Parts: sequence; structure tokens; C-alpha cells
Amino acid sequence: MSTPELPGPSEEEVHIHSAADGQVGPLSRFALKAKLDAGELKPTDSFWFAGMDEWRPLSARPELWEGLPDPNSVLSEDDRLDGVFSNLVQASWDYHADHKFASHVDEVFLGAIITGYLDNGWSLIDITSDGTHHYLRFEDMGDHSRSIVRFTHLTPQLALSQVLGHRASVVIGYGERIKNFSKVWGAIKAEYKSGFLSGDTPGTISVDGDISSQYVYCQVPLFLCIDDYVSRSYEIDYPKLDSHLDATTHALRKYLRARFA
Amino acid sequence: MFGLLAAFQHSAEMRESKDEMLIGEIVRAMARQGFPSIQFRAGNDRQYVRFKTVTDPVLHTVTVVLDRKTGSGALSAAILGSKATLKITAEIMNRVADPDDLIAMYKTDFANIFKMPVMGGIKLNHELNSVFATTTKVIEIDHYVNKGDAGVEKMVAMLSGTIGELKEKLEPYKR
Repeated sequence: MSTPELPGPSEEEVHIHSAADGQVGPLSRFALKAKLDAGELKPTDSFWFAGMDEWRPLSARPELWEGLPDPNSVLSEDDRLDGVFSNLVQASWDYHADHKFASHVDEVFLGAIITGYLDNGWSLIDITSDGTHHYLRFEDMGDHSRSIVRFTHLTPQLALSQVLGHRASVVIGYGERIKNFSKVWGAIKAEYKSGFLSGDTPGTISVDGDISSQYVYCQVPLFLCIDDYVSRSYEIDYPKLDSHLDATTHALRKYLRARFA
Repeated sequence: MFGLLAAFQHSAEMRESKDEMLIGEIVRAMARQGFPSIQFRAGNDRQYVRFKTVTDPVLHTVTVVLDRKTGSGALSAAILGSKATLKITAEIMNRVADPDDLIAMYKTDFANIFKMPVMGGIKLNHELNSVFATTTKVIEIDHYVNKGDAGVEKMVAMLSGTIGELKEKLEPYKR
């Protein structure tokens, strides 16, 4: 007599001949166990599945239903494949989120700069942004001094940002109203002359003047690493950002007042 | 004479900057709620800012579009005030990956994709992974800017109240 391997627990392969109901099935082994537990079938009923030579009483192969795991804990093939597909889609969502973060972290930083300035008593009076190049202008409504921030995200691609970090070219400026026309005019001439120098060398302070509003600005180019202020989970290190902006503004204010006192 | 011209210029700049002042306060208010900005499009009289609602379990993003309509010039400001439209859109995103759920969602989406039901001034727009709720208000910028803490508090109350209403409409669609 051959002893073929048992079908899988979910495979509907087991034919039953019940004394009470006649032909039943084919059933899976899970369904067979459920019917035995419910008393709908008896161990004396006969069974057969492909590979067997003849019908046998269920009691001859108790391993058909004994020791089976909880059917709810066993995935069908359909569920298993759905699970694999779901994992692929989920992994793609995570990959997509990493790309999105790399492309918009500069705008998270832009919002952090606005929040930091406003928390320190400035008001936003101008904003221009095309998504890559950003320009902000603030005014302190008490003493009417102004600050400008202009920056460009240099590493918006994921691969580049993972190698170099999220770098930005930033120009920070500080301006005050100078009531002496000749000093404003002098600042404009200085700005013209500074145009002959390399303007993007970090730490080089250049001077600019706006004759209509009477403001004279000092500005300095810097390179910042946005990762120093913005984490992957969108948390902002405001104390560090405030401290860096404050130190830069302080240096520019000192320079401007020394030049135009 | 030079000082007078400069003062006039400064006054004009402050009048023109009221919408920027308001959008700055909106950015700060959202940041305080744990919603960082993730997209800016800002130019003359129109500011578009999208926020990622990191700390909210239901919402995915909120977008604010401030479009100034009047008050950039002295005459228009005196006659009409500083009117603007404030369009606020909240989004929920369902990262559905199970094929059975995708089939169910496709049927719902297909039924809703050309419908833009208006519920109490709120429009719902159903796209594949996202559902959007949008409302547009006409606001007077002067009620919120240059009014100190009271103006900021009023703006925060208006903004949070509106986002709350939009969220309420979207909650049934969150999976």
C-alpha cells in the first residue's frame, strides 16, 4: 500500500465518504479538522486523496488533522503574494519619501529661518521663492533695521545630499537707514567697486545701498549645511539656528556701524 | 527733502508688505504646531506655502495660498482696505499597498473623481492616494498684522479653526 505525502493544510484535496452524509469534499485538512471538531464527521468515516490506492478510515491517518496550526495564522498563497507586493510598495513609499525630503529640505530650512527671525522680534516684509532660489527680507519694527537672507540649495538630489549633506549657498545681510545722503551714495559706490572683487568668497563683506529707501546693507556669503539645523524627522534645532543668525547679524551690524558711523 | 522721500518710500514698502507679514506669521504659527513648511512659491502679492503635518495622525499636508487683492497702493488701501483671499487645503494620504484595498479604493476613486462636493463651503477632491478638502475665505489683512499679539492670536485661532473643520471632513476617508 502506498503512503503518499499529505496535502498542504489549505489544499482542498481530501475526499470524504461519510456514513451520515455520503460524499463530502474535497476538503482542506483545516476544514476536515473543523468538521471533526464539530462532530459532523467521525474518525470511522473514509477518506481518499490523490496518490492513495484505496479509501481508508480517517482513524488510520490521524496526522491529517492532528497538530495542525491555527488556520488563521497560516497565510494562503494569495495572502502571501499580497504581502510580498505590499512590502514592495511600502519600500517604494519609503524611497519616494527620501527623495521628497532631499528636494524640499531647503524649504523646511526656509520656514525655520522665518520662524527664527519672527521669534526674535523681526517681521517678514518680503519673500520671493521659485522653489530653489529663496529671498527673504525682515524688518525690526522697533528700530527699523533690516536683515536679508538669500539662499540656494546646492544638493537637492538624494545621492548628492547623502554624499555631501544638504548644502546651501547663503547670503545674509544687515541694513540700517542712514540719513546722510552722501554716506548712502558712498555705499553705492563701494558696492560698485566691490563688484570688481570675487563676491562669493565666504566671509567677504560687501556693501550695498538703496537710495530710495535710504538703507545701506552689509552682506556676507556663507556655505551652510542644512543638516546641522533640520533633522530627517523634520525637527529643527532653533537654538543653533538662532545663535548662528544672531552672530552673523552682530558681525554685520558692527561692520556697518564702523563704516558709516 | 531726501529724508521725506525716504519716509514716503518706507511707508509704501510697509503697506505693500502686509501680506508678507501675514504669511510670515502663518509659517511661524504652523511651525509651533509641529507643521514645518515643505514648499514655497512666493512672488508679487501671491504666496503659496505647503506644510507637512508631521505631528498630526490624520492629515498629511496643509497648503495655504494667500492672494492679495487690494491695498497695495495708498488709495486702494484707504478705500477698500487690504483684502485678500486665503485658500486652505488639507490633505490626507492613504499609503494603500494591499491589492484588495487598491481594488476597493479604485472603485471609490472612480466614483468620486469627477465629483467636487461642496460641504459647508468645503470642497472635497478625491484622487488616488489622497483626499483633499479646500476652503477659501476673503480676509482683511489689517485685522491680523500690526496688531501685536492680539492680531497673531486672532490669526492662529482662524487658521486652527479652519484646519480643524477641514480635518473633520477628511477623517472618514482616512484608512
